[in-house]
Amino acid sequence: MDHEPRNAISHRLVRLATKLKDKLYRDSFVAARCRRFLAHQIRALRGDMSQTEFGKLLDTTQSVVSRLEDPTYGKMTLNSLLEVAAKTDRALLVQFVDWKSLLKMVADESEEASAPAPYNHVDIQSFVQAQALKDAAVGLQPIFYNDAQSDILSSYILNLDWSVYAAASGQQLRTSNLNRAAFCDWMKLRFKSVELPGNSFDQIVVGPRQQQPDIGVPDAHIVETMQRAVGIMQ
Amino acid sequence: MAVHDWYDALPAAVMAEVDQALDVLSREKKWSAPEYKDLSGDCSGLGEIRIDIAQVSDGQDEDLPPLCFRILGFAGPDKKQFTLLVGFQKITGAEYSVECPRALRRKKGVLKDGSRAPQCYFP
Repeated sequence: MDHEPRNAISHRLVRLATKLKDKLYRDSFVAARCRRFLAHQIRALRGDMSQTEFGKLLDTTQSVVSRLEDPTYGKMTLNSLLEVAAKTDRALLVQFVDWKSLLKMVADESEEASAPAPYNHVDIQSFVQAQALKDAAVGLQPIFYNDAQSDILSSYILNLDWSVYAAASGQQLRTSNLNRAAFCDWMKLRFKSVELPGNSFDQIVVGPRQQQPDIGVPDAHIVETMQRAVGIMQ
Repeated sequence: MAVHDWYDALPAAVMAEVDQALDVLSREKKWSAPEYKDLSGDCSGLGEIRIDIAQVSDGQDEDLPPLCFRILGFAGPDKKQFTLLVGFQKITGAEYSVECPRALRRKKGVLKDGSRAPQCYFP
């Protein structure tokens, strides 16, 4: 069999949760996890380089690299880990966490978990933009309050192949007609294919093109966000 | 003793180390030292997962030697699988003369009848 069953991760977590009831196991698990996973990560970060080559990158010797990769060593200092992080341009996070957070990390079997990517400004920017829009989508924070921010919405909608719908439903928005008109114009300007029924609409729904939202029953959070955005854009 | 019986009887601290060692190995594309070694000679056809556990020295000047646990097995029967056959604590090294023949017998059985090695999950 090439692949594990889809429930393999949850199966493992169930077993692990049972063992974690034992205090001695818990303590040992945390210690073993720190030692062995860090050693594994350092080896993964080394990639195809020899220990000597990696040592040169870290300004240290092959024997130090060998020790860092030794899962039984366990005496690496915070400073030496920070040094590895800086030299490989990776982030390092040392913090106490609750057990649920630890379980989530244990369940993450992605390659990125073992060998995280180095700093990349474009990736960071995309992540921040996506996060801002995600927040906006659940109504946490209106985000397109100026042209720069509306560009973000624009790229979000285009990148994710989202569609914009507007319709009249008889419901009343709290925004003024003037605001709705401004938003409508802005939408028309940016998304030429969007059909907006003049200024008479009172609902705007943004959603995946493949799963066209039911305009009659829009997601309350999205409507609220849009209402807020329309208000802000005046 | 079947390998799972051996595993289930391990002290909690050792079990945690075994769990983590197996978790890390499952993430490795290529298994190599220090956690894994292909065996030769009378143990040929087997590989061993090596789990060494440092002992706390309790203020003594010299570090105590690590506790060494070994799991014998083989890559297979299918791709991306490793079958665990025998687990033991290595103390002198003489254990291999007993454990390797046992592991080889079990390997033969598994290759003949795959149901003798059900899929298991760690931790």
